[in-house]
Amino acid sequence: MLEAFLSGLLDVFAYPTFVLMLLGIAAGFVVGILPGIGSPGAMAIMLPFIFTMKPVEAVAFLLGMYAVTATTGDITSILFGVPGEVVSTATIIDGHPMAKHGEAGRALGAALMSSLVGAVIGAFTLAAAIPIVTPLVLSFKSPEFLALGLLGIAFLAVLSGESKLKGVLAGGMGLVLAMVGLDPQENIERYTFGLVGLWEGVGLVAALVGLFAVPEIVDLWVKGTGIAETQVGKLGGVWQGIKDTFIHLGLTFRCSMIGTFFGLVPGVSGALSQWVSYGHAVQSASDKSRFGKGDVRGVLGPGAANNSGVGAAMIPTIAFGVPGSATTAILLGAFMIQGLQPGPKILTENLSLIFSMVWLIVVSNIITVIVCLIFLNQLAKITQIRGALLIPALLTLVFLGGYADTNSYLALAITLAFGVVGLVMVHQGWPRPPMVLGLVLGPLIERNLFISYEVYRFGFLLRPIVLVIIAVAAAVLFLPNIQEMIAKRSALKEGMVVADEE
Amino acid sequence: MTKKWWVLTVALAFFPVPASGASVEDFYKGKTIRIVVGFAPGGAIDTNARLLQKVLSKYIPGGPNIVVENKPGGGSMLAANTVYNAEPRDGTVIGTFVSELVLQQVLGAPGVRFDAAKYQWLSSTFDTAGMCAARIDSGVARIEDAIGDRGKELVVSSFGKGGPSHIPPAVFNVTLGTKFKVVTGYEGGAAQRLAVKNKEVHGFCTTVQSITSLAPDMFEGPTACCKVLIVTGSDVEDHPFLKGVPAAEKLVEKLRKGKDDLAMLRAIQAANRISLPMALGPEVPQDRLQALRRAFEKAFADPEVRKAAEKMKMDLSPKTGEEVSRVVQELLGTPKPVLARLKEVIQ
Repeated sequence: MLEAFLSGLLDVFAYPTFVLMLLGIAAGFVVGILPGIGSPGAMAIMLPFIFTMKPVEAVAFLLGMYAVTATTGDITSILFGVPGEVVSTATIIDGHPMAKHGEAGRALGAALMSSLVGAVIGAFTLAAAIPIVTPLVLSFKSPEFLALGLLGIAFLAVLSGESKLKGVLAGGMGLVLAMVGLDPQENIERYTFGLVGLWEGVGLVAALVGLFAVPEIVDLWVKGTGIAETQVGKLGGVWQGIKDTFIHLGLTFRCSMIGTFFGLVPGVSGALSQWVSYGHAVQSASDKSRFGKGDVRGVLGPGAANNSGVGAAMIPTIAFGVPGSATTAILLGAFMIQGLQPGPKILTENLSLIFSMVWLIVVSNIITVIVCLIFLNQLAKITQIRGALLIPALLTLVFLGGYADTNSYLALAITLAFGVVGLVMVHQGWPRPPMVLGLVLGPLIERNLFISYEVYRFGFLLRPIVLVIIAVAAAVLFLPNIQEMIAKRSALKEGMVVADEE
Repeated sequence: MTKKWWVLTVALAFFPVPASGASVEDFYKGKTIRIVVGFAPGGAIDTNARLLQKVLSKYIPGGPNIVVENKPGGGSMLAANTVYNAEPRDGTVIGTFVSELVLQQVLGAPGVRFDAAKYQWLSSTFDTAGMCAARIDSGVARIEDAIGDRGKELVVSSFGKGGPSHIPPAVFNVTLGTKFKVVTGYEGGAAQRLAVKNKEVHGFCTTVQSITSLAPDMFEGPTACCKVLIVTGSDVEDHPFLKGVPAAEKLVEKLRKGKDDLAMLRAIQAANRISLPMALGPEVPQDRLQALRRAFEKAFADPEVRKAAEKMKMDLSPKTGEEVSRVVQELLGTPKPVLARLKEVIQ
């Protein structure tokens, strides 16, 4: 095992593997930063080149790209309030307000460092988990997936900010929008208006880009200033952001573990773990007042989780052939092209390749973070550019990204429609994260609810892992209220004691 | 030069040359052919298209540029509709989608906006068969164990009604009297197979091609968990996984079922025989159609394609455009009463 671990490392630095990884990183850098245009599209373009490569070279080329998109995607989310990648949407919630307050440097520093920590933790957990991963993954069946979906629902309230009712309603709307398309059991058309293009539902990329980017662009236009509303002498302390990661190391570590866990579960992607870790960051904080307005902990949580999941998500993809996202689906195709049969055997027979993957994720993230740190001050200066100059470029990229979701004008229309919805929501003070969570969770919950009932009837509710997850969900839901009640009571008692003493 | 001459020269310069008049080579020179794939990147249809994309250009006169474009939607129905209705009919756009769409058309499924008879078929990649398999510990060792009143109910996972994971068990139930219980809703073939591995269900149905290339670990080696029970069609391919497995069309004769039952089984086998088809829209000039058909034949014989396919454990069994057309015609000619019954079962 140790031998494979080391030979995996050596393979990464061999020629031409290392050069191919650098090429991948360069590609990942660009697509990560460009809003809307994500890693799936880039990987599809890179795919034909790998037919003649060796497995480790192909993996270096593709994984180099994929491993850095979550990191560089955070940059776009922070600077523009536009998701650079689907998995970096949650970084917007606190990262972008920080940029607006002139703290872009700090937010970027925190995102980059937490990404690096997350990637390293995720990659090494992947390495350590190899012996136990098969039974772990096999113990998750449809009822357990359903329970994870319900756990996500429990975070709706936490993600709602100050207006819980609006948040829960927005979450409900997200769940309803997730039902657009053919239902997964009977192929019945729902809200498709006769459009075949809507059969597979509302495209997540198109929806997210519209929901977040359009309101930001309109806001920028109306204000007529740059993104940063406050001018700060120095660009808001990159080092402070890096230090923040270690000040809140516990949070960074826990969110990395959340990302790793969700990555391991087959069919559940980083699109969910970023929100759960954001919710965890909010819940575990004693002072919640700054969240949504620019709390660095709101950047650290999702920053760590979306990167730690990259390594872990390789396990269900290669050992079980079940990809959790569009990108890992293409990666799976790449494995097939390389003649690598997905299956538990790959974990034993190609161990050195698996460890090469671990090292690739670590090395490419280190390189990316170093490069980013060198250019960070230049990057953060983008927030000082006059809006009028930024808007045309942003608009072009956003709608290009929306179109690229399914290569159709319908995707463009979806981007626009969600743009209008986002605009109204921002204007009326409705939180957008719960709607995104609803969109992500809808298909997961619906599919697995029906399958669970079909196979187990109501027995699915009594499965041990289901009970544990539901208990955690209940804790997420009710613990804050209980804590509040206890605090109130003790305050009341203290008040009475004080009154008695008087 | 007089003014008249000028006018004539300019008019001639802009006079459109009839497309079919130009040689195929002249037409394709400097042009780009788009292969419109009905799914997102990464799946079998996409990989197949990208594999052929690499070599196709050198076999087409004029050496056009070839690009793959993904247009996912409606289980590839969107791509089939778009290539048929909205793309240029000049031989620069090739569609590739699941062959089950032809069956959807004859069953009058909603959303179909093409006529498979008018599609100009170029090739198909696999000639395969549908099959159902069960876990070794499911209590069903042979298909006969799941037939009739005393047969055992066999729960199988499926990733979509009207597709290869749903049609065979549903049709076996009405023709052979099997007791498959199909649970739909799994997200794709991998999730479908995972449900078998983690014992959520007893078995699954798909194509023989899928299991030999995607899931051999379930049928051989230390992780083997399943056994193939039955395949569609009249013959059984010579493959280690299929030793002693009955063919549905033979079994239906043995069980002395009606002629309609046999016709139904034949109809569902047709789509498997032309798996991963490629097609041009209607009205593309014949010379270009023929040139592309020959180019596909050569592409499948190309050593690079053969080598890559071998690496992927894909046992290529390509059909020419003419052969695909014949299978499509056969399917379109299925008797009405058989189709009515099939529709009831599948939709």
